[in-house]
Amino acid sequence: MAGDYPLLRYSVRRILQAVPLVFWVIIINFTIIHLAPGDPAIYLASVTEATPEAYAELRKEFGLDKPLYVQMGIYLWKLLHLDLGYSTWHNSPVLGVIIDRLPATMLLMATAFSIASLMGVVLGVIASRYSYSVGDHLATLASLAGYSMPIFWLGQLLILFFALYLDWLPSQGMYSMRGVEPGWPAVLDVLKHLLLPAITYATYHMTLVFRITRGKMQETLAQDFILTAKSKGLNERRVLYRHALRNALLPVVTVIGINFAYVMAGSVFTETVFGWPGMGRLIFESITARDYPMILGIFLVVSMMIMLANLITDILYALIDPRVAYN
Amino acid sequence: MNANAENRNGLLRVSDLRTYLDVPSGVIKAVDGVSLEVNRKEAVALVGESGSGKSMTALTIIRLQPVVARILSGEILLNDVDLLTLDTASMCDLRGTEIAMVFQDPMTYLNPVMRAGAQVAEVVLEHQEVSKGEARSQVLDAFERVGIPSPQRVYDSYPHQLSGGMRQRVLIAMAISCRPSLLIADEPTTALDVTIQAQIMDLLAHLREELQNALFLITHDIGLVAEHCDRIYIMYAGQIVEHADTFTLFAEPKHPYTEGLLRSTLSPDKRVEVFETIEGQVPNPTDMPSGCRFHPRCPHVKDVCREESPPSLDLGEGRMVACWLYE
Amino acid sequence: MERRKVRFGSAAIFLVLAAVLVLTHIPGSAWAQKRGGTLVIGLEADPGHFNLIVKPGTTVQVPAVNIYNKLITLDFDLNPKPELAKSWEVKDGGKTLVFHLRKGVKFHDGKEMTSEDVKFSLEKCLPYNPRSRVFWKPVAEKVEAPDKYTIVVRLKKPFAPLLTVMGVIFGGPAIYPKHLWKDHVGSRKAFLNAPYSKKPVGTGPFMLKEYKKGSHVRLVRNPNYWNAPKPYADELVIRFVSDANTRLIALEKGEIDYLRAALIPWDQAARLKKNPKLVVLDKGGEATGQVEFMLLNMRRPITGNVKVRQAIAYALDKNQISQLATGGTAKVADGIMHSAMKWAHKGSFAQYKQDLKMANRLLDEAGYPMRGGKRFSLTVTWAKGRGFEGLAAEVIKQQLKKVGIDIKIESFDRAATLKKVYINHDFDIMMQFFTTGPDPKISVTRVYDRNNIGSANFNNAPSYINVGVQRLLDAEWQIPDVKKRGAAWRQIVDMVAADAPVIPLFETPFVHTHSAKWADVVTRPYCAYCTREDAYQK
Ligand SMILES: Nc1ncnc2c1ncn2[C@@H]1O[C@H](COP(=O)(O)OP(=O)(O)O)[C@@H](O)[C@H]1O
Ligand code: SF4
Ligand SMILES: [Mg+2]
Repeated sequence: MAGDYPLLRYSVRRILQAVPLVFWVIIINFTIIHLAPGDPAIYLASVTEATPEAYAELRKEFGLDKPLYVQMGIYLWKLLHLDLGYSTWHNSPVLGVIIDRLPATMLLMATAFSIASLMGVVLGVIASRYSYSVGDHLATLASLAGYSMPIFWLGQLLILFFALYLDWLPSQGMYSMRGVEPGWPAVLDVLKHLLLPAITYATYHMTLVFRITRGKMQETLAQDFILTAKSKGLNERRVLYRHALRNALLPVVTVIGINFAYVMAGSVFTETVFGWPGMGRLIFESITARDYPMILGIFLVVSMMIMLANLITDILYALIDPRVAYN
Repeated sequence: MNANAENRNGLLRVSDLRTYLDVPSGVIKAVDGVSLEVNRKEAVALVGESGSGKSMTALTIIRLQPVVARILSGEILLNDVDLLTLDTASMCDLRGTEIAMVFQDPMTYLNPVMRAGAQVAEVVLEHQEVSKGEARSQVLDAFERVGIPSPQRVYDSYPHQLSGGMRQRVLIAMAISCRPSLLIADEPTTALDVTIQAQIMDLLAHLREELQNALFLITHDIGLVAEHCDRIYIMYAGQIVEHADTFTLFAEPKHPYTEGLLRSTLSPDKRVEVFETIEGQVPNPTDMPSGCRFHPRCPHVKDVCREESPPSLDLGEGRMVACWLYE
Repeated sequence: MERRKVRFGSAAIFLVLAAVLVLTHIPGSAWAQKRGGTLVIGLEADPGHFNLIVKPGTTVQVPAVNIYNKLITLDFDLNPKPELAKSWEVKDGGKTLVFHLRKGVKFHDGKEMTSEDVKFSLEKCLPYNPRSRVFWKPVAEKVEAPDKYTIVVRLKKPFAPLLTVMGVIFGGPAIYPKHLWKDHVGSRKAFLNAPYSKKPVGTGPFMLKEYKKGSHVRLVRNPNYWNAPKPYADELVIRFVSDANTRLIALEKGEIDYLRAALIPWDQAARLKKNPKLVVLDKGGEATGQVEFMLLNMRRPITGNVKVRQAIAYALDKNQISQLATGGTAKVADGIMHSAMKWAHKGSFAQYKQDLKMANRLLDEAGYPMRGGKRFSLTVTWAKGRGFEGLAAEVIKQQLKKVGIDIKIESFDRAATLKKVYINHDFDIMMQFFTTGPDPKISVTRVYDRNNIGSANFNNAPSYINVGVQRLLDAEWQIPDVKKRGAAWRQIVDMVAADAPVIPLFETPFVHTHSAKWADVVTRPYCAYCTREDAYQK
């Protein structure tokens, strides 16, 4: 049945192959997190200035008094039943907390990711067209700067300039706290809040896409079939976008896909700087609170998202490149 | 212009063309004072060892010379219009319609991620006001014309799914799809099997009869041109060293280099590389010998040959040779 | 007619002048408090829920103190003031406390709050509060509700600090509705899993309206609040911003109206003060009463010598230290507890004023003569994380050089430093700030109690033992009369000052900042845990 859908069969197989990988990810995360200094009981006890007995009670409640392998077994057993556990800080099922935070991250990420990919590719194509011109050198320099600039720093710079100095945009958060009507004004309000974090978030990624697109475009433009395309009398735009870009895009797509992991990492910084109520900040807060089940749950969800992103990358690659067979 | 008036059959007239390439190691005088003519419906060959500047001559004619190239002097008249004075858009309009080009390696001159048919249809769509369906049927027509056995299948195939000969036919179909008056074929058979080579040469000859186009055939294999071309230009190190009609040139070569070339074709194994039968090496392109550029390899070298470059001597009846022996 | 007009005119002018005088000379409170506006408070993290019973950390407290009430509260001088209890009596030599409750106070769900709810909160909830139970468990015996509006708390023995402690949220319990919680008691988990963890119902000035995870909590005015017309703000929003810089920018931009002291770095205070859109105030730290100290290790031969310790105290210019370490925002400390505890903090012994002659003489007498400008070397230790302690150490080094004491400075991460100092006694001098409020029994005693040596962090690091002091420490907390108890403490303050196991340096600043559009944002001596029912828009 699936034989008629090679893509589907391929996807299913890839997902099945990922299962043992996810298992190892869980084991490793679990071990690392539990070996790191501190634990949720210590944190809770310290913020509440609890007594030693209270601390012991907390440890018992969180199951931290059991040997590590027992704790891991319990965790895996629960996981088999699709139970990600209970957040020690939020005191809610982990999955629920993640689902609460996911839309905000998705909004930010989808926006930033599309801005970055689109702008990166377009700028990369333009730069490749004007290879080694002054503009190209400047763009390359700027992209290097963008690439090496810490997100924290860039975010703060943008906040200082656009939010504080020019006072055009809100400095943080996702909503205005005062006087926003529901409906379109509320949507607009979210978009206003989205702009700066999306740009910050997009910058690192965009510079990367830019540099790769530019390089791959230069390589592709030197290839023979470009000469054929030009000899057909196609104008330059067609040659660039229809012939060169489609070929150069293959490695770019791979890079975008592989970078998804970094994009997730970038969300931690961006969301923290901009007070964006998404998963990135949830990670930050959960690590601060040593909220083991929460951290593990997020890592699990994130690794699955990364694997999914890689799968989508491969499928996209196959769709763009007719030479790829699913085997 | 007056000169052309007497030759109403004149299609392409190149005079004193110089295309120099700026490379890190110096300046390559790839095309250094080339003059040649192609008349309507005529088949003309440009023959020379690899690296002698044949391709650069052709590329300069359709103005697709690499970015490192500088055109220092010359005129390229096509139907009495100097191509070197045209703006980019007008040049694009001419490519594919008036002059078309078939390149050497069908493996690399087709876009790997575009279907064969689409690549050909693109030319039609670019230059003619036709619907997509119309373009498709024109392409299938052209495919049939170039002897593709199952045009429908090839139309929807990607290049990697086609054999080398088939690909070259696709490239030829692409070149003739808008019925150009001048078809430049740059080593169209070099990358192909011997059996296929003959088929492709026959095809080009056959098409010329049918479509009444002029053929400018570029090759390093002088044996290939004997039965297909009316006239021959011999090129060495960026310069035309001899010109005659085919019969005369084979019967009575004047230039020592031409002699060498002919000797190599007469040798039993036709595929032996030319420079192996002519003693010595092609000169270093950035450091040409003084005087006659052939003098380090010439069996008849005289003192004057080393000092001064030989003049182009008009031997009458359209014959030309550049050699001190005929002064 | 004409004369009346004139008289009327001059009366009007007088009135206007008077009004201008009043308006310009009496700050804040002279403005008419009117209702309206949304007060936005910045918080460093999403609390996750509002269960004050089991998680009395700051992030839960900041919203929760506006949803719940306590029996009593404190004024800036740390005197108990009525909240849900409109009055109280201390009986049986301090062994019985009787509280008379306000009548007609309603929970947010409309049910009346009575002594049953208070009894429930004290008996069933308080034992699960990891902070409050520390004060209650050792002394509480029984809680009775003889009638609907009376609560009687019986103690095993008198415990004088109890009233003060009850005035702060971490000491006294909030009052929870028994009818909602009664089936969710018995364990931490049971409390946490109750629906009222996330949908709190109290008697407080504000009610929960919206909780956007990771973003903010929105509270609205409780229309039936017993202390009407309070609260003045229509809405109270608590917004979660984890990045410190972003928080400050949001404040300067007006997206946040208030940041509590813990969220304002001192080095920013001077800059914020210049911003006309902001009000920077240094109050609300009275209940915490933080004081920066030098701790001197009495186990070491040099610092074990009382003359050396006194000499060091005389050699220091505390004004300069506080100026340089805190950017001039701190008040010099003149005893082992914060000056807010007026009833106890100051003895008759004049605190050490800089006197280099005296310092040199004491050092000579101690047997450390000056040789080539130097007498001996000591090491000052500070735990990484509080930059101002490092700065203070540098200033101290410069000052002690003048009397021939050569100071070396060392700094380790917090955990390592604490272990080195409090458990292993491996130090000469340690820079440390202590909470000293809201009652010295709670937070001062531990530092000088001989039974605390080496027991835990923040206890008796100098290894100080003074039998006289010990006797007073053991007895003072059972003295119900504040005057007598105060006298005992003044004696302790004097004795410790003379022995100088610690040298108090300055009271650490407590700079809150709020938008100039608002007034009365801080009206309690415990900033983070302060209700915002008094805050109003100007
Ligand atoms: N893109 C290029 N950049 C630098 N040098 C080139 C380039 N293309 C050709 N050349 C040089 O120009 C000369 C002529 O090359 P070409 O016209 O390709 O010769 P042919 O077609 O006769 O083999 C050679 O020396 C070759 O190395
Ligand atoms: S000019 Fe001289 S060197 Fe050149 S081909 Fe003729 S004889 Fe040979
Ligand atoms: Mg060539």
